[in-house]
Amino acid sequence: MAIIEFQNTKKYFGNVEAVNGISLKIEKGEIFGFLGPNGAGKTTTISLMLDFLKPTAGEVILNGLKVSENSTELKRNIGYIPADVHFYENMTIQKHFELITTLKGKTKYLTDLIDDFDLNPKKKPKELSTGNRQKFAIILALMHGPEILIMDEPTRGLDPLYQNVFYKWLKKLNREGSTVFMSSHNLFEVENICNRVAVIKKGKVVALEDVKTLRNKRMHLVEIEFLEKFNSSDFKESKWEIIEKMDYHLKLKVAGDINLLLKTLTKYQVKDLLIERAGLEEIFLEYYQD
Amino acid sequence: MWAIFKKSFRDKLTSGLIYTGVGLFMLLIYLFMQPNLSQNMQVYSDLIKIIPSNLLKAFNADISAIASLEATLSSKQYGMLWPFITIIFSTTIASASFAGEIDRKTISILLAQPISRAKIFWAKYLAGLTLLILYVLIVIPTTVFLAPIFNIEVNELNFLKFTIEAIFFVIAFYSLSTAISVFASETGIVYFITIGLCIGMYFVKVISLILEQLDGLKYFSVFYYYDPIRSLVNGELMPIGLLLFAIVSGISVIMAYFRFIKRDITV
Repeated sequence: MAIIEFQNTKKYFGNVEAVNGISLKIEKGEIFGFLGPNGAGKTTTISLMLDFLKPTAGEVILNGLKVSENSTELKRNIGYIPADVHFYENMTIQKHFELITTLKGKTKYLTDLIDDFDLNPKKKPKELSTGNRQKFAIILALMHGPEILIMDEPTRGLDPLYQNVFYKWLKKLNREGSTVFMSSHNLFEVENICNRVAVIKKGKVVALEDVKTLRNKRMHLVEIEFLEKFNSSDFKESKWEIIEKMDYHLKLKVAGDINLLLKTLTKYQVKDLLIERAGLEEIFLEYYQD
Repeated sequence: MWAIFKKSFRDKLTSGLIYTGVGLFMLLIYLFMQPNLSQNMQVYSDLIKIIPSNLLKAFNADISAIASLEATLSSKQYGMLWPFITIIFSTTIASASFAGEIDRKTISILLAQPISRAKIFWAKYLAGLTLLILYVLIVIPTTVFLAPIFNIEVNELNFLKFTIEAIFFVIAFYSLSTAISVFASETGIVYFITIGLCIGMYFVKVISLILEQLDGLKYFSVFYYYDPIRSLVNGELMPIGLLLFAIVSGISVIMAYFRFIKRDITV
C-alpha cells in the first residue's frame, strides 16, 4: 500500500493553477525527492499534504486516510520542515519543545538530536543564526521519530558538517521505517539520499524517475583548449550539445556518461580541460524543452 | 487545547497588564479629582447652561450634575476614552491571535501538530476573551472598593449594571475583531477596519445628536447601545442593546470559526 498518494490533486488560486492534477504513489520506506524550480508548485503540494491548503479537486491520501478528513489524526505521525522556518521569537527553544510535546506526546530522540546538532535549548529563536534556526526546525520535525517526514528544502542554510548530521539522521529514521518526502534544489542531496524523484513543472509532474535514471541524465559542462585544430564532427553526438566553437576551443554540454567524450579526446592533443557538473536547472531545462 | 490557551493567554498578559494599569491609573486620577469637582459643581453647572444640550449629549456631557463619581466617570472616562482604549486592546489581542500568526507564519507550528483547527481557534479566542473580561472586571468594579478610601459614596448596583454592559460591549468588539482578523490575515487591515468602524460609529452618534433630522442614525451606532450615563448614572440597562451585542458576538464568532477551519493558510 502506498503511504503517500496524490489522486489527481489540483489546487488553483483564482486563475493560477498552482498544482494541476498531480497523481503520485510513494511506498512505505521510500525517500522521495520532489524537484522543480521556484514557483513550480512544490510548496503548494506540501501544504496540501498537511491540510494547510484545501485541494480544489482530487485528494491527498496519507497512510490510507484522506488528509481532508483525518489531518489531525495523521499529524501525530508526521514530521514537517517548512521552506521558511518561523518560530515564536520570544519563547525559548526549550519552551517550544515543551509546547510540541504537550500537543504531540513524548519525544523519542530529542536529547540525541540536541547533542548531534549542538543546539542550546535555553536560547530564543531570535538569537539564532540562519543555520541554527534550520537545525532547530529539523529537531522539531525529527524528535518524535515520525512515520512520515515532509520537508521543504530541509538543508537550506545548513553548513556541510550539519548537512551530513542531518543525512545520518534521515537514513537512521528511514531504516526504522520512516517514509520521506522532500523538496530540494540540491542535486548532490537528491542523488545521495533519495530513491526516487518527481520533477514538477507548472503544477504538473513532468517526470517520475528513480535516482539511477536521473544520474544518467546528469549533465556536464565541458570546456576544452586544443593544441591543434579539431574536427567538429567528432563531437556530434545525440546527447552532446556544442555551445561555443573556435579553432582551438570547444565548449559543450554533455548529458549522461562522460566517458565517451574522454575517449574522443584521446585523439587530440589537449592543452586544457575543464569539466563542470551542471546543476539541477540544466536538467529541469531538458524537461522543459520536452 | 489547554496548552494553546495558556500560551496564548501568557503572550498577551503583558499588554493586558499595561491596559489594566492605564485603566486603574485613570480611575485613580478621577478619584483624586472628585472632591474638587463636587465642590465646584455650581460653577460647572452655570458653564454647562450656555452650551447647546445636544452638543453636550454628543460628547457624553449631558449630566445634570457632576456631584457624583458615577457622573464624572461616565462623562470623562467611560464615555469616550475607555471604550476607545478597550477597542484598541481587544483589536490588539484578536489581530495578534489570528492575523498576526498567519502574517508571521508562526501558525504553521500549531497547524503541523495533531490538534484540530477548531481547538486552535477556541483556545486562542477564549484566551483573549478571558483576558478582556478580567480587564473589565478589574478596572470597573475596583471603583467600588477604592471609593470609600477617598470618602466618596458610590452606587454599587449601578457599577454592577455598567460592568455587565461593558462586558457585553467588549465581547462584541472582540468577536468582531476576531472575525476580521481571521478573514484579513494582516494585522494592519484588522486595525484599519476595526478602529475605522469604531470612529465611524462614534461620529454617526455625534451627527445624530447634533442634527435632529438625522436622529434615526443613532440606531446604527454602537455608542447608542453602550451608554455609561444610562447604566452608571441612571442605573438602567438597555435589554435591546445587550441583545444586539450578543447577536454581533455570536454571528462574528460563528463566521470566524467556520472561516478559520475551512480557509487556506499559506505558510
